[in-house]
Amino acid sequence: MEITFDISEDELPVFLAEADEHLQVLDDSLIRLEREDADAELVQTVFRSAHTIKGMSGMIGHKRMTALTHALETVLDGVRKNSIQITKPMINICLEAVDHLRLLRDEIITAQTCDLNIDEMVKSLKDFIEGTKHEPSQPVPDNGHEKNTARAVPENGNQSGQNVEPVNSNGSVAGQGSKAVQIQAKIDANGMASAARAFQLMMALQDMGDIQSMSPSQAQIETSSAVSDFSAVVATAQPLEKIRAALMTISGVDEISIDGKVILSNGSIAAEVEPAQQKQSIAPEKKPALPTKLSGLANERRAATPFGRRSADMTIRTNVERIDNLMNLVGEMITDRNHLKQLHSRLKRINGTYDQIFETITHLGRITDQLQEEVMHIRMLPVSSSFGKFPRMVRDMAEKVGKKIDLVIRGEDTEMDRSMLEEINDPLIHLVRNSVDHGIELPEVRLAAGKPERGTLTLTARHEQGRVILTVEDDGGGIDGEKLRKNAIQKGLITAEEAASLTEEQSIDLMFMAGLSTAQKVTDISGRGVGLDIVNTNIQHVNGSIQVETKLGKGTRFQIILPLTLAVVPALLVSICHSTFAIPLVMITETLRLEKNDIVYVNRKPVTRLREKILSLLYLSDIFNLPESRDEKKYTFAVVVQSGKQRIGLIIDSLLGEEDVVVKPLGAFIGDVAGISSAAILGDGQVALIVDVFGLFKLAGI
Amino acid sequence: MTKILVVDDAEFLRVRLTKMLLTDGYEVFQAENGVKAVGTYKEIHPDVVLMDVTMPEMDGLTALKEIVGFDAKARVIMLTALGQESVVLEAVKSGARDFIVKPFEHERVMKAITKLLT
Repeated sequence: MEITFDISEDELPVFLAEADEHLQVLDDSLIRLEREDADAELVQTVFRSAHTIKGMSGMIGHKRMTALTHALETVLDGVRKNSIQITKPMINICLEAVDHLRLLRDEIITAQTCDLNIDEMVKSLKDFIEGTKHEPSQPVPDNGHEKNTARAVPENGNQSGQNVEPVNSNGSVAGQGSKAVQIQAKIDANGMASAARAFQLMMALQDMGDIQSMSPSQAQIETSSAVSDFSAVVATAQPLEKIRAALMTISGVDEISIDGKVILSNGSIAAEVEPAQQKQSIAPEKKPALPTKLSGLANERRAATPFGRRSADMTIRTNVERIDNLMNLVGEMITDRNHLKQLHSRLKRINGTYDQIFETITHLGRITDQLQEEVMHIRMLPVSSSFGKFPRMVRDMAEKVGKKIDLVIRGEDTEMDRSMLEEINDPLIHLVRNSVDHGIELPEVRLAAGKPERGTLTLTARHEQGRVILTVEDDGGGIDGEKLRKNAIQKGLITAEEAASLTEEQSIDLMFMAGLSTAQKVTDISGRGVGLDIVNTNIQHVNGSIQVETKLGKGTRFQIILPLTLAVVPALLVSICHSTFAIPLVMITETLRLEKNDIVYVNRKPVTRLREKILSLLYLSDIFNLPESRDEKKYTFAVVVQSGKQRIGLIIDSLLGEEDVVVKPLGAFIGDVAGISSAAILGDGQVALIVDVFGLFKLAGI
Repeated sequence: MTKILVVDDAEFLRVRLTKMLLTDGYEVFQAENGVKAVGTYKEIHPDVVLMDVTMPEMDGLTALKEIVGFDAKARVIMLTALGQESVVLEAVKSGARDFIVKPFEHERVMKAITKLLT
């Protein structure tokens, strides 16, 4: 069913972002409440988030969302006031409500009502509250809660502004010449807190003089929830006009009469009062705003934020597309800078030095670098935006499989490119799920193995040398390389011979093989391997790599290494048969100069010895079908690249230098080319192909 | 220009209110909790304050008391929700000049303000 809300396009992102934030707070805090002792501050935080969502949804007319958050808030209010205990059922029902709220939030985007029965959910929350009522506890104070839930309360009191003096300019006490004035008022009984209106009337009259009698009495006003009739006799020296003005500033009052003369009826001003000068008083006066003292307050002024700046943390929300455009422009600029650099070095060769050009280029270079860094930062998001969902996920999954797991998250402030974050989202979920499902053992198994009953799953993020490193680590049973080998042989993925030649590390890496992981039964042998090849592929897709370390009985650690961004790649430019190729620096561990006789052939495959270890070599000219006369050269170069624990030396003709290359996709008409991931435009306008290192590992059959 | 201070921890509410108030020709300032509200009040002396009740750091009731303690003539309108009757009464006792129940219409806000300003 279609549904519309009172929200404009520019408000929508603010609403959604804020709602998400609070839903996340609810999820996280509820889970923390379940684990830890009820910390008053935490309870307050949960309550506040529910309350804020209620307020927000009310403003856009999302009635079901308001009703549900109200019910949730009532439960949390009970917790806050100690009338409801924190129990598993309580946490469960609240989490369920949060899930419902997420779907209701989505309705604002889709403009379609979801299939959920919200009334049912509201009812279960209410039943839950009812169910807790006969437990010994303090009563929930507000009886008015329930009946008011779903409807907006009409607020009366619609008299327009009047040209009267402000009430507080007057502080006189009844003295000589005072007379008794009879006041009667009818308060809008439908309005909220009508007693508070009566209290306001009383206060206004106290300002005017001495209240000699009043009905209801102050004590009655303070204890009753609704007051509809108010009357008082006040001894005052003030002119009637002043009393009238003071009473008129109070909203929510339907009728007021002074000494029997009606001055307000049905919420509108009685006839005799002319509303002549209204306009003037409504229009805001033009006073010069704060002419003095401003400079001295410069620091504090930050607290006061005029419209247009968010006071919270001075952040801006902007369209991702706009940032992408900026990034593209920066990319163009980098290309130009590189081009200028080359022109300069060419000019230098012809004409000696051009100091000024050089200075300009250096300066432009610095500016470009800074600009690039700034734009990159705009694109960055803290990983907490991705890690945030895990506490809830791990809790639910652990519950389902009967395990006890503590999730530890470290470094959630670490920032990374938002598109990268999206790309690694699924792989992360996969790894976490694997750890919960297969890595960490059941409580009894753990106890039997002399481990603590509760398993620990640790997620970390950190920056290291211009890269982002994410780890998913568990203290579970670890992975058995032997079982993996056997299974791979059974599946016909490797021969028994091959298996025998595999090191333990290589055996573990088998779990990233496609055939092995898609097979359903793999989970039975080692407990791992569900879709790990897909994890691997996704990570490689963003120029990242994944490594795994495992110790039988102790646990497993997955480490994901990612570049900071995808748009600009620091690369090593190399030449193969007069063509230029770019190899991403992230992948490179070192470069070697090899003499002709350093290269030997084992099983007709070229290898070399590197620090007492054998390194497989790959002639890129062969891979890319480039003509080459291998035997003529005395020496050649090899670029050593690494994927996981595998290394390989790529043989090239010469090293050209490092450059930040701007990545351009190959274009659909070229399609996938084995060993090439994308292209880059170099400073001199040449196109260089960017080598897909992972693809090469596959091509080489490693 | 008449200065209005909007105090609410929900950014969406601040945005919505600011929009309304700008249309009415007011100069609008924002604060997202009680502490900031009090600081801003002392600095800019707004003509009217629209104050949420439930906020982190310092709630609206405490901020109201601090503001009224600093300026007895402060015009503070509380933004309350259903079920906060007891808070409303205490707010009124503490010097709140009006209260508006969420969700509210533009007109209700406009009237409450003009009423206090006349």
